[in-house]
Amino acid sequence: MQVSNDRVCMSLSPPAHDLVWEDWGDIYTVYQRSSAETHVFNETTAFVLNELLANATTLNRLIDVTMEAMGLKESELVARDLTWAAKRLEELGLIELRSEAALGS
Amino acid sequence: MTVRELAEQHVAKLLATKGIAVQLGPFAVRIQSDLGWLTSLIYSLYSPYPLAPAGAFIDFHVAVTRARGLRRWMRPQVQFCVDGYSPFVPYVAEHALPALEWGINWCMATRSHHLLMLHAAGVERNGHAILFPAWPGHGKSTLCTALIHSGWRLLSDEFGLVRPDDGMLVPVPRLIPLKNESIEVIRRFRPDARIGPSFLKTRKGTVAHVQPPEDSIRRAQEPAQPRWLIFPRWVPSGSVTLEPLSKGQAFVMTATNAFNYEVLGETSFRLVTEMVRSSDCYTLRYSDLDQAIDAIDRLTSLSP
Amino acid sequence: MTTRALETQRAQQLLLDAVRSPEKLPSLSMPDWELLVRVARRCRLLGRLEADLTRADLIDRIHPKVRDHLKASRHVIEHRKCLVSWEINRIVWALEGVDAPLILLKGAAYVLARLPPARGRIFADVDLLLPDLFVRVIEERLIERGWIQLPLHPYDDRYYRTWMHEIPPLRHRERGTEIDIHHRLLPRTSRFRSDPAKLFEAATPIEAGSRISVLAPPDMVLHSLIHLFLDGDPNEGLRLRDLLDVHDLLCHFGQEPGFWDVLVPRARELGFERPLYYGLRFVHRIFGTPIPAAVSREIRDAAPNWLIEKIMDRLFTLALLPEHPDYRSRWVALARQLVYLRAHWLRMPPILLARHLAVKAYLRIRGVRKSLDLARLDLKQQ
Repeated sequence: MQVSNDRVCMSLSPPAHDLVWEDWGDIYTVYQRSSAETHVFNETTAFVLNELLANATTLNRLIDVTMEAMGLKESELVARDLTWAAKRLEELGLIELRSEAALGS
Repeated sequence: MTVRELAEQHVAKLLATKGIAVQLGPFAVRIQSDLGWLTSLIYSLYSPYPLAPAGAFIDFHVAVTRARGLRRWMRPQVQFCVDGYSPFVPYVAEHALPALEWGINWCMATRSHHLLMLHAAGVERNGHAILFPAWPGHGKSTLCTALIHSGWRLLSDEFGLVRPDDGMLVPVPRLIPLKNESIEVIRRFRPDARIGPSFLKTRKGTVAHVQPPEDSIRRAQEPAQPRWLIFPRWVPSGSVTLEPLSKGQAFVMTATNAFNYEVLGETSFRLVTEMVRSSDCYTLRYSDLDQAIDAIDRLTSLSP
Repeated sequence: MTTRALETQRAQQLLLDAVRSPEKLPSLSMPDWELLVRVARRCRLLGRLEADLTRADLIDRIHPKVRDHLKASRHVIEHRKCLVSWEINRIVWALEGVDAPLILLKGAAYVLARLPPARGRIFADVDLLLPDLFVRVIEERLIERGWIQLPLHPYDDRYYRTWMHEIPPLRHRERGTEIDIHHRLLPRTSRFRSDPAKLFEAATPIEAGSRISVLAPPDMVLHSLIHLFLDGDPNEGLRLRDLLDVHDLLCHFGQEPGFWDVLVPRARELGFERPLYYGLRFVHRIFGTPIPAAVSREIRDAAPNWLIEKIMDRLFTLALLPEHPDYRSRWVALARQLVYLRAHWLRMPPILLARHLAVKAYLRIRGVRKSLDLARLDLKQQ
């Protein structure tokens, strides 16, 4: 990431409010009505979407909350995972990322 | 009325003219062909199949005819046509029957989107069905053939048709194509199984067709409730293992194995979810058919 | 009349009656339904019949076996619509910050603008019209954001870029929908010289504040005519369903005040009078589209000479109307080939055409496969 995570604001996009969830214990299968796609989400991704359902947040705050909730210690690993998940979710059209500078890849 | 109740000459004449309408599960298929050797094969292998009722709506109008063009003089070729069109490559004349069977598969796969089509074999006993979703080459046709000669009714060896309204499996008990070594395996397993001639050097190797037991064909209009999802995998050696599979995994493997999962959108998602939720899911690894069948018998007689 | 001729006429009449008067369909006999389903499927109008019956609340009066086929086509169409709409959503996301006008063409426009041709119709691709100077940057941006260029033979790639009005199609690496990016409606080589700038000027946003636009109504009608006559297929010749699109658009826009007054002048302005002449002629003949007498008079001077008109009448009719599936005709196949050739001729000058056809024939012989191999086919549907 080339830009401070404080400046990356994340929020759910409209299609994310129109998902059909199924919890299988180890994974979630999710049907996205807007795209007719079926996704397989792990615990982390589900957690992110759930958090954003409550309110928009920044990537940094999301990393903190996730670490606490899932009892994780390696912040750099978490940051990398969440950044990747965020970009992926944005590509799938489920979240919107707003930043003042261009996102690094 | 079945095909065999007509005289062979009469069937040949029908095939060469307006065609013969056969009921293959839910589909009424009109077949036409003027190729003599094909008509006698059709008469023999399709003998127990019911003719479509008079006045029935014909779902597919198919034909296997001589291919046109220069090549017919060098090496005779045939082509499969549906509704008078053939967007398909021609085949050597000897492969007319495999061409017919593959062609009917194509018709089903492209036109039956009122149903969810899983890529799966299915068998039924005592009102409950096992589905074997699998990729080609993992032995599901061989296993399926062995099962239907061991007390199970054939639902399908390729297309697991699911009715969206109630999730029931719609039988389509067609000829089962066996490939290469499987042909000999089944001949040894059940010497009295009715197997058609072997077609060599097709694009899928050597192919021969098994005629399902007549009971399976007679009961083609009886749907079945799925009860077990078993993912089979044949291995060259080792004893049989039947292990529970996580339902999440079963969902993913079943959905990715379907012919038209995406087309039915949310309906597919719900149907496969419900099927997995209400079924017991296993992976089956086997090298010996008898062992595999025993394991399946034990599993399915345990559960109520 | 021979059996062949009678049956062919019966097949054609069944289809046209079904499209023109769907309310009569519940009383159709089973043999008639069987033929109708086959013919409609061939013309890709099966979904249209389903949509009309559903809209008129008649679908439950149709025999269950027939209904299965209709339902099947509905599912495919609904799925495609979803894919097309979503693809456009993703394109808009990908092109954020790129300040180029984006005009949707054909099916994508009909679906998003909720126009009548979208009813019961399959649209496979997304067609976009952009100004020439933005094409490169947009192509690059899409590739950056996950789209890939479909691999093409170098001849085709050059053909597209140099002579045609499109760049080679793009497809997202995970999704199946193709995007065709056009910078003009017709190739540079075409006999119809037409300036895309005028189309951009008249285009309107799909809805207030939307990033994407559609062509103005007369331009949309004219483009659908261009597509009908010039985007041919050697097997299908002219597609009846493309003519039906024209009919739908004319009926829809024809109710808007001023539409008929500007249609012919606009055709002249863009250089599309001849296609408009033929289009109005056939759409009225086949679908009974109501066309004001004044308009018919106005377009009359764009007619070809008497002989050509007679030939085209015969050719187009043969090419447009469906055959009976059991009575295929070589004349029809020939007519379709001729119409296809004509379409190519209109798109490029003779020398280029000869070379193009020669290369395509060479590519075909070398095994650039066009036929389906049933044995190897993956029957999974997108």
